[in-house]
Amino acid sequence: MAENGAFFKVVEDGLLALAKQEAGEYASELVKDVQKFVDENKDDLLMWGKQLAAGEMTAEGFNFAVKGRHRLLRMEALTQAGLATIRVDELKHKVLETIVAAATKTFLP
Amino acid sequence: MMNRNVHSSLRRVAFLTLLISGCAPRIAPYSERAYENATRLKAEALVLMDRATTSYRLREPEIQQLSVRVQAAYEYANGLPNNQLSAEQWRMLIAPDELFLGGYFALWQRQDTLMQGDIDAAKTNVRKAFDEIIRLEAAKIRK
Repeated sequence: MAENGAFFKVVEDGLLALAKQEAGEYASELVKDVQKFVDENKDDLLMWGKQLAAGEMTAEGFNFAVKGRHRLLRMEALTQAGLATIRVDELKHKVLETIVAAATKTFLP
Repeated sequence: MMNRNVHSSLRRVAFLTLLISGCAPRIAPYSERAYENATRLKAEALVLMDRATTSYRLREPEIQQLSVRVQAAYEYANGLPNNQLSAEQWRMLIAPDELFLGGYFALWQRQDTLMQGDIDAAKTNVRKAFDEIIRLEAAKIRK
């Protein structure tokens, strides 16, 4: 359990140092984003870290998995963009149906 | 007077209807074929990924066959009008320089065999990537 805390402390320290060095005015935003990613994927990151330490994963496999998990955010963003567009299309469809229903009720004998 | 009001209302309704119907749907409708492609290929991909404890060279014919089927699914999604979001998801899934199925096959080829830990971790991400494609397709409007 202490190992888990140590792992995330190393991640956090590394992240803060990197943000200070590289991100300038965007440092706090960057730290927040990465911390959110780490929090949301804590269980898998820990498991993979332990497997790497135990020699059950290669460094390249670990790298592939962690970066792939981060890349999933782009996949999810595409889904969210699609869902938002679908909601607009559904609304347009409902508006059209309302107009047609109202016109039929009002003007047809 | 009454007649003129009716005509004016009719004109407004017709204008509104034309205005809204003129705006075509901004995303492709649900495609049974695209949904079926994603669910079937997800199952096939996860089974094949598990075989990476054996040599890439031994599995190359199966990998090539599956790659062709996934490429065909991408081409289908990419050919549908207003389907850029789904097509981009498929592209990411198959691109060798990305971190999902295409990237996994490239990693397998580089290392020839993979450790079970590497396989399981990559499978989790590929499963989630397919799930995103399926979730978007399933939400599309049925015609």
